[in-house]
Amino acid sequence: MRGNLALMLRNRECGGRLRTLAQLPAGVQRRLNREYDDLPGLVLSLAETHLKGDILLVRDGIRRATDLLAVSMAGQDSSLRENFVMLGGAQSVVLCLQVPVNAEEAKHGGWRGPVAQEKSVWALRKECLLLLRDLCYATPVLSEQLCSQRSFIVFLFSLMRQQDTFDEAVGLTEEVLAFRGEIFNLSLVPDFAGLVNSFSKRQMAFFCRVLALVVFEPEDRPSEELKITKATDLLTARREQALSAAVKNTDRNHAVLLGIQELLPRMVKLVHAHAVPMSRWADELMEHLQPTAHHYDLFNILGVLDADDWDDDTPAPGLSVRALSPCIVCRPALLAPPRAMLPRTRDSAGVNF
Amino acid sequence: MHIWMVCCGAGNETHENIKALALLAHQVEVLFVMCTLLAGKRKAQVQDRLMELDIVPALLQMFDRLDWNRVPTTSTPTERIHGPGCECNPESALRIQVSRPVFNVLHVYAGTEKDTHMERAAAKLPRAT
Repeated sequence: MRGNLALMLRNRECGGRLRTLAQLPAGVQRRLNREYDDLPGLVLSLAETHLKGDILLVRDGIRRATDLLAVSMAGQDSSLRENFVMLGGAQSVVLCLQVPVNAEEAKHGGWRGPVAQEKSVWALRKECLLLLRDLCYATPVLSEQLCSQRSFIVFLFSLMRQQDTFDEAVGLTEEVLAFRGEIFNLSLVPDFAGLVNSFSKRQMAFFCRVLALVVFEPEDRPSEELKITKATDLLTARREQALSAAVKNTDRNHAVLLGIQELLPRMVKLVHAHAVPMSRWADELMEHLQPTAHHYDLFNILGVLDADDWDDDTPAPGLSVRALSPCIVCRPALLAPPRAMLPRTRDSAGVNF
Repeated sequence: MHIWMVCCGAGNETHENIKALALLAHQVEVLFVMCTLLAGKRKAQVQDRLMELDIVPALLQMFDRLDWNRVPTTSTPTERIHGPGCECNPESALRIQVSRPVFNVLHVYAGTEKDTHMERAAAKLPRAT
């Protein structure tokens, strides 16, 4: 393991920054801990536990970070999370997210410790994804950092293959892609068609939030530079866009999506999906469904199977459709869990109609 | 607590209802992706495929079930999505996303003899407010 180049590079990258913090005199460390609500110590311990390769300690560290930062989430104060990111905590969480799930990943990733049980690794990854999404939500600078890492986005797509982490991976991917100036190229995702084909109806519908960010040209979005006040101007801009000969990533993504035989039939099935006659508790349930995207957890609690359900018959015609989802422009408010309902400091990945 | 009690004793029908609700939560995004594909450089291919897949009855179903007269809940100016003066609301977003593919499909039908079905649908279209 000593000759592992990946391990050496990782130690240098992770340890380099944090070793400096650890080398500070004890008095300075204590003062920093007092000033920054024990964050420096927490970040340091996160990095150290990751380097030791003990997944139990890593998970404990992630939980402590989540609990500590949850206080600021509840208090509508993002300074604690900003400080956590500034001290390198988010990078440590990213490393913890990549804890290997099997021996091969451990070999390539330079993991020092023993390979833990697969179930506990996925549980850890789920917690890391949740924490990272909350951090991205409150600190746009983190989203900017992550969106520039193409391999990280590809890794997020790979996490969507696992049902346990699907919702959280989609949520974080959406947060990250919303910041990306250049549209992400879906052909970079290995076996993207296989990934899409593996989704259940609910997963496919949720995944459309990510697709909406990769099939749409940013030039069409309302921005500070492009002031479109008339419908005709918007149509002109779109016509110019459509007639442009340049092949853009959105065109590539359209080609990738249309290359998936099952995509359009499944989207039509989703359009067909509608509410079946419901009893009076349905309205109450809808209110609870509205602010959260963690429907898989809800399904688990209620014993609802979220499996391959594309061949199921369409339910009988029912009540009129109520719009559960708000305007796409305010989708972050829908995605974020209640504790993270904070005012955003950036434009969301809004799209015009 | 009430929801918990109802759902724990629920049967398959309730499970299907819950799944349907989860799908409805993302309906705007599903329609948006479809509309964007319909407006892309391969729109002819998408239009043809969607016609084969009977998109028209699906859109008509949505039309019938959509509550076009629902008045949006009033909110204070500071709570509005794009700030004071913004008139966006969840209902208008869904209405617009439903109208877009209908408009697109109408174009496909325009000039053909098959347009009676869609013309009927268009005649039923109320004015979005």
